[in-house]
Amino acid sequence: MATREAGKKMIMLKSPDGMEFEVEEAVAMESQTIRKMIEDDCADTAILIPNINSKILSRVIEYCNKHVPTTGATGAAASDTVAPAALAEDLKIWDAEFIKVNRATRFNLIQAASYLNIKGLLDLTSQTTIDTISDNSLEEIRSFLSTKNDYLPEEEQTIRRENQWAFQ
Amino acid sequence: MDPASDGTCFPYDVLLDILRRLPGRDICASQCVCRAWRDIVNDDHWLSLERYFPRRAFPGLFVNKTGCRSDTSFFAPSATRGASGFRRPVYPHQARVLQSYNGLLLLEEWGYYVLNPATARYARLPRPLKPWCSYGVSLAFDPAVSLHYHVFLFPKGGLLKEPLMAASTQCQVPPFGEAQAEEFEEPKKNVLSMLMYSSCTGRWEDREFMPGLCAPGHLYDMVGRTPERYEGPFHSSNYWRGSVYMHCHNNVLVILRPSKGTYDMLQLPGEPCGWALAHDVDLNLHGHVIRTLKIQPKMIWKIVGSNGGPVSLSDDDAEDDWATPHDSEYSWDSDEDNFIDMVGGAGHHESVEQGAYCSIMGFHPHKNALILDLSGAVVVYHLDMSRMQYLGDADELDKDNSQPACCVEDSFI
Repeated sequence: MATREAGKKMIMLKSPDGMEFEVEEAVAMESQTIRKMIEDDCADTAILIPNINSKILSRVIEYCNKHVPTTGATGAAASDTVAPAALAEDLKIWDAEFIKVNRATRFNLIQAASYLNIKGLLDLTSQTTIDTISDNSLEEIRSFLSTKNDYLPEEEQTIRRENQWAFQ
Repeated sequence: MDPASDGTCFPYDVLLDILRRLPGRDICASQCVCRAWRDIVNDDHWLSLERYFPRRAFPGLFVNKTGCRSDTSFFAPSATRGASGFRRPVYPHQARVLQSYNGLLLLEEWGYYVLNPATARYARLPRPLKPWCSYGVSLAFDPAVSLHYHVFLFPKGGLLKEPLMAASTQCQVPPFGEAQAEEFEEPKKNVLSMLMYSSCTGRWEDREFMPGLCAPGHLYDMVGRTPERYEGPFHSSNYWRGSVYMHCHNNVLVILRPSKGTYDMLQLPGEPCGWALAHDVDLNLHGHVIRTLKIQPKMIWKIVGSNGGPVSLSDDDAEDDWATPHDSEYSWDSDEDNFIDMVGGAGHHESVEQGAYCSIMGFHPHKNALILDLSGAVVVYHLDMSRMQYLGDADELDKDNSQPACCVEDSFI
């Protein structure tokens, strides 16, 4: 049943707060987690996506809609008229807009991308966090991630000492 | 988002995924964020491997050789893309590596150099104003304490300038409080004078060390006394957690504690001195297993460097020559690679060859692992696990494209 008519088949995704989203199977399969469910025939009716509320889920679907490979129903026409490079550039701009969200939403998106296993979205959403960790002092990292320093001063000193090359 | 109770705002998997995308240096530094992060970094094998070997799994060995055109070479595991030909190491001229610690090398060539192989920058130390002993040079560098390094030298005749008092044989316990007591009439007697170079001032200066908690007078005398038989020069010295450990004449270990200005002395094993055997293992068995089982070497050694001037080890170009850490088949994977299984070890006992030998090539302090030359096989011996990994053939280290026959004298990781 999973391969009745590729590109046309619709999948129902349900968020825990009761919202239902009908998406094309190809779009849903951007998520490796959902792809696995579909391939294992575990997706007969609707797929419940736990831990991801409807607000975040709708953003995730928005992302997948945009990023689904354009070789399907609408893709053939698009690739004739638009050069791939321009398409990629367009997608980049779209991504940059997409990620302009507040911190809590971004953290939720990271978790959703991680759970649903959508590599592109995870790369996109976690990049800010990665940059923060790379470029900032420990204090700034802690404040950005709302993490508390629970080391005793001497413990922190020991860790610094053991990894001293990293602090040069 | 509210901070979670364990100090992380992400589930474990998500944080792990993010951390895995970071460069090694940042992973390493981020352990200081909080305990939960440290645990994640420590638990995850991939992350911890990155942490210790930020660029490539096993950085390589600095090897001092004799009888070669080039005295020192840096040997790294060969990369998938071949490194071409004989290449000189990164340091100036024909210097020999004396010590390697915390990323700095102490070199000797008509004087002393300190070199950072990662940046290929080096500093030539000025000649000390006083005559100094050719043995006993020690590099001290601890970036956790200061970005400045120090080099210590024994001044010539420094130890023996006071008359010897052979009578004191017991530990003179700390002079605190008792220092003024009358039995210590000559509390200055056992002062250890050193020459110290500081990169902060750029000068050599006199530095005096007072006896610490354990500084028996008879050992002080022994350090200054010419050995009864020639034991070669100063054996070795190392720097560990703020203290300089020097293996001196007559098998005495001198520990300088620059931060306190004190020194301690210990008699090393060999004389009755109360050392307990903490680690006992017959390494020859491992060597025998390597030979009989014909385990494939993990490393094909290649000399790293260039024919031109100093080359930065962290050059982008150079990096291309080396395998990337995570997917290299040559990576030294501390958890699973090339461990030597000692199954049925007892059966090998009779067949262990007579000519077996073992020498220490280097020590990896963070991994608590020794690099050993075990009858011609370079192995990593993990002290914590008592397990051994086979890296490659020591004969390969002798090879030099210009002169095939030379002898590996000493090496540093």
